[in-house]
Amino acid sequence: MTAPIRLDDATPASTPANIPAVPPAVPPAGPAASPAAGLVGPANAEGGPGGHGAHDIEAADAPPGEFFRRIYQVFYSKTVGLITILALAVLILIGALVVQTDASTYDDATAKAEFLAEMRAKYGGWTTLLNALGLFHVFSSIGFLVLVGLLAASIVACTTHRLPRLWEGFRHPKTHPSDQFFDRARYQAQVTATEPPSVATADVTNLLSRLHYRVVPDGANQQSLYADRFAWGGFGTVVAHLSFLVILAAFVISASTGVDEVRSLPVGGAAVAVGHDSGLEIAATNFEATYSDAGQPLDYVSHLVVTRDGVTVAEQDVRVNEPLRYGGYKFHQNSYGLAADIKVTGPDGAALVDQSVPLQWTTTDGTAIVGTVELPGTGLAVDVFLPASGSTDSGIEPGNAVLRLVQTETGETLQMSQVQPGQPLAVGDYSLTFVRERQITGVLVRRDPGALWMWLGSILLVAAMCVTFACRPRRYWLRITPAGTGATVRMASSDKADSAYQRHFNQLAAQISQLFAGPDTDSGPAPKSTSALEPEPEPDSEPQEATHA
Amino acid sequence: MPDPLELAEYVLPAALILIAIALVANIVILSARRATAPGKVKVGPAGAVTTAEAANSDAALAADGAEPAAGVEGPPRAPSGTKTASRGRRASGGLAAYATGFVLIAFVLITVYLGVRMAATGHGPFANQHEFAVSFVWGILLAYLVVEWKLKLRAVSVAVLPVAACLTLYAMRLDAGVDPLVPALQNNLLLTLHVGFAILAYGAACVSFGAAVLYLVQPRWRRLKARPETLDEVGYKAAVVTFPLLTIMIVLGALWADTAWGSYWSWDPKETAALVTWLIYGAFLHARVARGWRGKRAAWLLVIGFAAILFAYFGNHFFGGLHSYA
Repeated sequence: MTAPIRLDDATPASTPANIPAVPPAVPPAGPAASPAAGLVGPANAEGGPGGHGAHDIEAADAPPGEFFRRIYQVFYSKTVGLITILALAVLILIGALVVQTDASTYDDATAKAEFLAEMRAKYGGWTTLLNALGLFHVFSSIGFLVLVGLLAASIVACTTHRLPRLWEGFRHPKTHPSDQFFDRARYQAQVTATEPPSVATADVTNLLSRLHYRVVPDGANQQSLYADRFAWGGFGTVVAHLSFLVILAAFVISASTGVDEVRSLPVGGAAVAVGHDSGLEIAATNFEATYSDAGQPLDYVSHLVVTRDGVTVAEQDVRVNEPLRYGGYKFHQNSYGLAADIKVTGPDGAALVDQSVPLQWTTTDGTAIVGTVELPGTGLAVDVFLPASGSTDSGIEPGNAVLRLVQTETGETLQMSQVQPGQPLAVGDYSLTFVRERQITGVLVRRDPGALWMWLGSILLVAAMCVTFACRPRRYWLRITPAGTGATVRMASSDKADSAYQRHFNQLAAQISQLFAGPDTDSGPAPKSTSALEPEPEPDSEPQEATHA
Repeated sequence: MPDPLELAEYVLPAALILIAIALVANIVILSARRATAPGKVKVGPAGAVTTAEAANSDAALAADGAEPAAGVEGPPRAPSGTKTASRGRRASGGLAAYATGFVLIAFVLITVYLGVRMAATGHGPFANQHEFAVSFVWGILLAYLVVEWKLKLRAVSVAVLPVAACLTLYAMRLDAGVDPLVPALQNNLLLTLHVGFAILAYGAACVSFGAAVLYLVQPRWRRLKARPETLDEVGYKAAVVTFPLLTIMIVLGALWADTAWGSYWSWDPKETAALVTWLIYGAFLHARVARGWRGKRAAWLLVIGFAAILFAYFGNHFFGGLHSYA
């Protein structure tokens, strides 16, 4: 099979009258375009039968300087774009398969060592390689960022390279193909009319206009027409690619700005300041977790109150799917657990600590949960232990807690005792009191300026994609020539082999045929609608008659 | 109201058997087509069709194991000397009607089953792996029936129906119990839209995969005689449908994640796998449209794309992460 023929390759689109009548002997190397044309659209989608070829590299829109021109050339190369997409897919696949850790793990030497030890148990000798390649944090690795950057550069280069040609093809389509084009184009039809050429031309023009085609007469030949529908469809792919850039920008904005913090709120306890200087405080007045008889979680709900300067500005029952939104912030139900209210007084009797301490960790034997609070300015900290849920082996009586006073520098335990609620534990000059056990609810506080761009980009992407695939440009050339007392209407189009395109083409040919098939006119049967599966004509085969006059 | 559990015991095996019978019938039809298709018939309905046109029509029919496509004038009538071919064609046509009918009945049975489950649970049938598997089968059968109806392309059934059968078997092995939704899934609108688009996308992707597999095995399965160009185009068109649906599915997933988890993207393994799938179909479309990839290379990309979909679908068994329910 030969590629679709292309005419007038060397002629600028704006001077159709100068187009030579003979097509080049060598067909274009690339395929013809379709509306799904990717980063760089081939000739026909943009300029019709007089599209552009490889010499577009020489286009005047290339940046100045040989070096930059070559770089630009690399980026708008479709092959580079394709390889980048596939490489990104492979890297992301690795990210889905290999255990990933937060990038912050690598900022803390101890956490990193612990993580790698854990991974060594899982991946053995591969751990060193995976670590060296950054595959434990793929999505913040250099390789990933470079590929995403390459993809963005590729999209920008392809778009800037393509857009002027696309616009030119849209504004000034080729209108004067050679006669041979009508013999060799992939899509061909011929209709015989009894009217003279001028009348037939007017009739065909009217029909095309009625069918919402844009009709551009050939300046060099009064009986020659160019007609297109959805010619703007090619811009859909440009918008789709640009909207992908908007989505990438949204990721950058989300990662570099905004608020993303989890706050543990003691239920019925004090309000906690949130956001960075937002002036907002949140408090949880209630929390409930509901389970089915089989132990399956059914609902987690916290009643949150948002205050500014002590004044309540918003409150709501917050569930997993019902965050509270206020002032650009979102408050999500994130987790829940237990806390211990702890009061510690120093040598002067002043309270060093009087707060709920979230019990965020579990002891290595799994029997107790533990939280810790530092005593400001003393170099000391208090660890609080409560029995883990369902555990009877912790050695802690129900309702009691174990308090441990430790030196933060050395980790040395100064005192460790089991205490009842409200019973002070004296350690030197310090008095430690476990006041009560308390429910806490974890709330994720989010402010994400990138989200708006994310949704904008997503809506644009989906819309542009639908336009691209649903509104494939149709470009037809028609030439009406005298035939006896009547005329012959020849119609051709050069586009990628596609049964739907063929069907539309045949349909239009049939409508033109019917135009000339008056009650007294024997113009023969209308052209057959072809099945989607019927073989398409070879571009260089004998012209296939769409109708029999 | 029938009990969904009881219904599952009957409906799913019945659907499986129907799919299996339809598959066997289609294999027989497609394999036998070569013997019955009168490729050289030259006489048209009114004796007026030119030789070239008649041959073309036949080629299309023989290639696709199909009845005449919509819009195509009737198939060439066999002359009196080709009675055997005519009988063979009628027999094949009868079997074809049964094969299509069986797939249709299987589809209706599964639709009823999913409807009963929806009525019983009050939400879309996507809340656990069993429901998602049955919905996946529904999506595949829907996409296949559309392709058979619109394009008369029976051949893809040879690759598509085994996938549907395997997934039905898989669904039968899973716990079909009706459990209340876990808190993260309690968003009826987004559950329905997000997973609904996934089902449609996966169904279209399976057809795309079927066409690609047929394209690849076609040279070795000589009796099949499916036209490679047709398979290539159907694979592409199904991918053209798959890609926007996948995009919408991922965007809706991001929207839901933003509501439920507080962030539109968390690199959760399941969403990461979905992104891989999206990139592969995106690469396929770029390869095909911008680089002119057709034939084997394009077909392999479609096979890889569907493998990625299965990987994302089954992934929560070994991924862990936030998306553990299905």
